[in-house]
Amino acid sequence: MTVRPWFRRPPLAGALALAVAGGALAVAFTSDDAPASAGASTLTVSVDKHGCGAPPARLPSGPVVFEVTDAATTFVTVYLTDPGGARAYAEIRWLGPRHSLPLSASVAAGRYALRCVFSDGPVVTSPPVAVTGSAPDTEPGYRPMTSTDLEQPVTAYRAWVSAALPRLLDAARALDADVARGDLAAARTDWLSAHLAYERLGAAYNSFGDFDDAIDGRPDGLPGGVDDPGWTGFLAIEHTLWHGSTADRVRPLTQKLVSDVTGLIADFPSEDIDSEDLPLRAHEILENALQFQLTGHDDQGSGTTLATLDANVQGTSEVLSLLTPLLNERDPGLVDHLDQALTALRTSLQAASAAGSGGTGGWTAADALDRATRERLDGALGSLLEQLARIPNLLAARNAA
Amino acid sequence: MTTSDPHQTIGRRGFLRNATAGVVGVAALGTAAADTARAATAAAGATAGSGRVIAFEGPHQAGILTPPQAAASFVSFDVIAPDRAALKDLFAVLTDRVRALTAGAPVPATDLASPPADSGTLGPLPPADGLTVTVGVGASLFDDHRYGLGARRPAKLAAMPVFPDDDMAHSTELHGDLSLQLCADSRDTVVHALRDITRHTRGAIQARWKIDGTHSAPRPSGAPRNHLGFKDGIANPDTTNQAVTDALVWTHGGADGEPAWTEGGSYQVIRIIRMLVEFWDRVSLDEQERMIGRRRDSGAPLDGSAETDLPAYKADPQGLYVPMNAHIRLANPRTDATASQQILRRGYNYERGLDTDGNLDLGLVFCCYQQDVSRQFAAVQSRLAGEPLVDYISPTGGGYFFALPGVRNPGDTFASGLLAG
Ligand code: HEM
Repeated sequence: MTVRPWFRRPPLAGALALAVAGGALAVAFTSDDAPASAGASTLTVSVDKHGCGAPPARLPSGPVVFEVTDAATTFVTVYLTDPGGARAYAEIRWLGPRHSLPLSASVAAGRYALRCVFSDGPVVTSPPVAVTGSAPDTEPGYRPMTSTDLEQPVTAYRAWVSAALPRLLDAARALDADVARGDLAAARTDWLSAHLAYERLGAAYNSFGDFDDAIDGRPDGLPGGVDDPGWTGFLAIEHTLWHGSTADRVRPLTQKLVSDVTGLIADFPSEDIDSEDLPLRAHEILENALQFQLTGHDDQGSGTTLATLDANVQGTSEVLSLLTPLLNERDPGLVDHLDQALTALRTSLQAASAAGSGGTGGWTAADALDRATRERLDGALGSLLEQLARIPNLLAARNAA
Repeated sequence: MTTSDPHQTIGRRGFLRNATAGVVGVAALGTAAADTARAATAAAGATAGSGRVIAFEGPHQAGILTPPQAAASFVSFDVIAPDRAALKDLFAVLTDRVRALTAGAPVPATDLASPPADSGTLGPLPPADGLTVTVGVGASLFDDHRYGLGARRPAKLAAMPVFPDDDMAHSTELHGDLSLQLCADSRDTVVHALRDITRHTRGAIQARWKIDGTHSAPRPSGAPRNHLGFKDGIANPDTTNQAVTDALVWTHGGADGEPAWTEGGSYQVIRIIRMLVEFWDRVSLDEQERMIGRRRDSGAPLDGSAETDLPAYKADPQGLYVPMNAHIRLANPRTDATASQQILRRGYNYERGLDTDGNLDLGLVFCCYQQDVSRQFAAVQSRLAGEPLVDYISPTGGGYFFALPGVRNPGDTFASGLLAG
């Protein structure tokens, strides 16, 4: 599993257009391969620690591009904000000394300013820019968030995980005890409960560091694949339990699981959770679920990847509920929409299983889904992901913006 | 490419010239340098593709009479929209996207909270590049329990039947509720459009199968060749003659039991037909030519000398030149009785990997348009049953669809007639 790069939004994303505005066509390009915004004029702005440029005092509404040069000796983050900082409209995430990048937006009538946040501390704001007139497709801007805003949700997430981990350990111990007794039928049932307890934590994207590989690693990247002696954790145990292994072959794996979960519990309080990770997780737990669970990729024999998907939906709901206050302040309605979509997906998953042949735990194996059911699930998850994709950018820390 | 296409309008380059003038205007305002204007011309030229914009609006959809562009994808979808209102939304979104993509319209600005509005695979300024997206609907969309459209089903629309020489028992590439035929002057433009459309319609349609095709350059001239080495696409109804297209290609509301909304539509048949090229290459040229009924090198009918010569079957009643069971003779006997059975073929070569025995999976994405799928395609296909060529080909998938009437004006959408009221 890889951690996604922090920079999600290329500085030039979108806003590249040949717009016919008021009958006049205007295109400006700032360099051969970096065309600026359509119908926008390019305004050159040089920023340093004494001033965040000198933009014109008045501008017409519509697309605008500031070509910003960092004339200082340190890196700078540049925002187009309103003068009070209640909304951010556009940003250059990271601009180096003597380098230039475009800052583009489509602005409605109102008051704006450029704000420079230098990497060594200084924050300076330009004189205000008054925008007048009206234009189609202007950007509403978003209330910027600071990294401290995420502290409370991260603390709550920690508390939620901390409370859940002992139950995971209990479940792992129950599984290990079954195997120790030689009761592999019970082990198969308890394996599912334990695995789902883990998957509900939404462990995607490295939240548990190396423990995740040990507890829930895939065989794919191992030299020996499913026969690799280094493969441990839930999927390795599943592979043995559903491929006719004897209890004494399974036991070392369940013992290892118990010790790894114990290790995780001991380690978790000292694990750093990057606050940026929580919004990312709200989106990407289910990206992973699409890639590995709905496809059936992770099925090691139990046919329960839809149960895993269902657990991942629950994990996403939990993360989402922690972020709800921050999201509501920025995009009212988004959370309600997402909640409905998450519930609809869970309902479809239950229905898919109810209609199926009743495999492990009553779940239908992903590869046994009929076409219509699979398409409905694909569509429900796919459209949900398109919406979840807004969260990381919406909740990116924009300190001092 | 010919310029006879009624949809062909002002090229992208003309548009950009105006754009460059706009930049000069900006420069005059003192906000951009002359250098910038030069950069604009260079950068825009680099992304402009073929420079062709094929008009989206009209009584018929583009991509039917349009001479085949170089690259195509045929994609079948199932509609998963929960109800009729959502179905309507789907066609509205499809209309918006196809309109924008085929115009090479500006990518909307990306706001602070969103991932990029465009995939960027055509660069920052996606060109139209001769793109057409032709939307069809399958019989299953009209099933009674679906969207209540049973009474509006085009009269001849049914699921594609199995024909005697078909190899479709285990096919995963059959039928569908909705078809998209995407064609453009380059491959990346096709893929860009498909990716944009699937992204904007997620949750409403789900792709079912997809097959990609290409058109080769003429070798050395005339119609392009298929994987059998023969020129393909020589004989077709005259698409520049409206009397011909009205009689053979377009459906007419109220005629032949067709509901009123079908005016200006056309039945679309897609067949994925594998060619067993290794086998074919082990067959003598004489036998190959007698199976097709044309010379391989020139494309001339066996009783003629040039590709454009018309075979004269009346003068050859025993098939001494063009055998009675040659593909072209069976497909179009050129008699008065079969004149109304002619189809407008618009196929593409496909190429996709290997079979389990290491043989190349090459073939034809057969696509044809017609006014009446049973009077035309099905009749021709039945006549071809058992032709000598069947040993060298294997139809493995496809479907029947009805290409919707065109989007007539800026306020119109795909399927507006179908969903009215
Ligand atoms: C892989 C399968 C096929 C191959 C290799 C093939 C090949 C050809 C070739 C080489 C020609 C002559 C060139 C031309 O006039 O364009 C031709 C003509 C034609 N083919 Fe096919 N064809 C195939 C499938 C079909 C099918 C499925 C149909 C319809 C059911 C069909 C209908 C026709 C017609 C109507 C003509 C024109 C005949 C005329 O008007 O003279 N073909 N085909």
